[in-house]
Amino acid sequence: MRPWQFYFQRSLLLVTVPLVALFLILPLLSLVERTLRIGAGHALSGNLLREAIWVSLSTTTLSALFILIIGTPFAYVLARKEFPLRGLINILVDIPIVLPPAAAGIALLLAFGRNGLLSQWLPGIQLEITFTRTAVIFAQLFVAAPLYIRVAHLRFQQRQVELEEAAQVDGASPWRVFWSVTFPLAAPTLAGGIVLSWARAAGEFGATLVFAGNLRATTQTLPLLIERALATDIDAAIASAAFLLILAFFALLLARWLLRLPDKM
Amino acid sequence: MQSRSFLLLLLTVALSLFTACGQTDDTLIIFSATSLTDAQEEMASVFAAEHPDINIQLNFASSSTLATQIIEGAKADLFASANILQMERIAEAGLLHEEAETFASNRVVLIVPSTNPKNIQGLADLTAPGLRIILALPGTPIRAYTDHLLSSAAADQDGEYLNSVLANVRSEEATVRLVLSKVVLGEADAAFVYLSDITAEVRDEIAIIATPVEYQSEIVYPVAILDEASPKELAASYIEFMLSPVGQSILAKWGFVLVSRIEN
Repeated sequence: MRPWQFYFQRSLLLVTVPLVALFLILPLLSLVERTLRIGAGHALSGNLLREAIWVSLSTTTLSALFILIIGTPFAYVLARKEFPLRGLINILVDIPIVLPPAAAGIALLLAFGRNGLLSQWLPGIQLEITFTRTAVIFAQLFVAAPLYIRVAHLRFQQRQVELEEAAQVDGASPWRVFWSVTFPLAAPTLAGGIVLSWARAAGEFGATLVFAGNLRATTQTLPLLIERALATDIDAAIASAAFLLILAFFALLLARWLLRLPDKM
Repeated sequence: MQSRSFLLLLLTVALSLFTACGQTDDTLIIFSATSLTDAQEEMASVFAAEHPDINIQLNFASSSTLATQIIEGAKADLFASANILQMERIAEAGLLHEEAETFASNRVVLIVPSTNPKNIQGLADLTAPGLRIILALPGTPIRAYTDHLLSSAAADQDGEYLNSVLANVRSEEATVRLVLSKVVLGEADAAFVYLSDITAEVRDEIAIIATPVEYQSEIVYPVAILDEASPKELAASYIEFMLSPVGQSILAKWGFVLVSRIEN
């Protein structure tokens, strides 16, 4: 390496890394510091927080399961099969990633709400999804599924032609090829994708608030508890924010590890 | 070429951010309860027209959230609260420059969508199974007034009244305006909001159901100059304006009961 290059890189390092680290780490550090100061045990033992953790865990687990079951074959078809409007559908899939969550909530309300489009198309059937746990899952599916579908889609676009063809030549049915070759080969990447999606669902706030409302022990997830507690019990708000932070950190750690695994069985 | 125009764009954005941050002494930051939104915006624009060299910044949230923000160190000159309790929190934290003044009063009303799908005629109908009631979050002033109204009503109903009503609560929204929006959208069958929330834009979408006056709590809105305020004279003249005939007529226009009328 030439000397000027060394100094160039070193000066960039000295300027940008502390700046970015300070900007990112300081808020997170403050959160953890305050949680420890107010006594995390006391704050975590509250009923409100326990109920919110249960609502969050049950809804995000179901959301992740649905995303896996529907998203995997969908991403596979999107990557491997030509069909009309594929380009358009490809764009539509990404929209929730850039859409403000509150806008997603309004969109869900106008689609699946009491006076929504679906209700108008199905006269005689009173849709009662809003303000239920189903609504929480709808909101999470809407905002989190695109992350998994995009990861899975990119993975399925890399074909293991030789292995898949070898299996086919040996007489395996397309179903068998998918389950015994394509899926296992992609499994670590898919697992990383689902962890990312799950983390996004766990942090979901705006769409849930608008579409599912905020009711203790029913639709009140951890992010919604933060808003509630901000007005009444700031210690609980700080503790749940810290809890979400720790959850997010380990989810990202797990996702990184999974996505870097060599893709083999 | 392309990357150069992109850099130019970035530079423009960065510069505009800096100018937005530039704050003079003549900036008045008002933290105001959400229920005051329309009245406060109109008062601020009339006041700003009279004082062209000042800049008014309005921050709306529930009074309890605003009180928390102020206690946690948010910079504000004035705090207009929807109840006395949140003002007392600020006073206890030692952040008030002088005692708060009452500038308006309000009423809690029971509202339903204009179509009234569940045919609610009064407080007694709120126990009907399957009803969707939306309230504000516990800790907000509107919720405290609603709870008071419901428990007063419960005293005249059978013993299960309060539990049956609360069992119908489907969501607890952060602000009173969010409660209102759920009724306007037809997602809620009944809700409690301030009379002042029934603005011209939503008047056709909802109907007010009469509730006995004796269940009402006295709802007064205090405003105070915060210790941080600079300059204090500007904040004081804004409060004076709120209490002046012009300020009071704006408040009346948005459904608030006037101060003079409470005192009499």
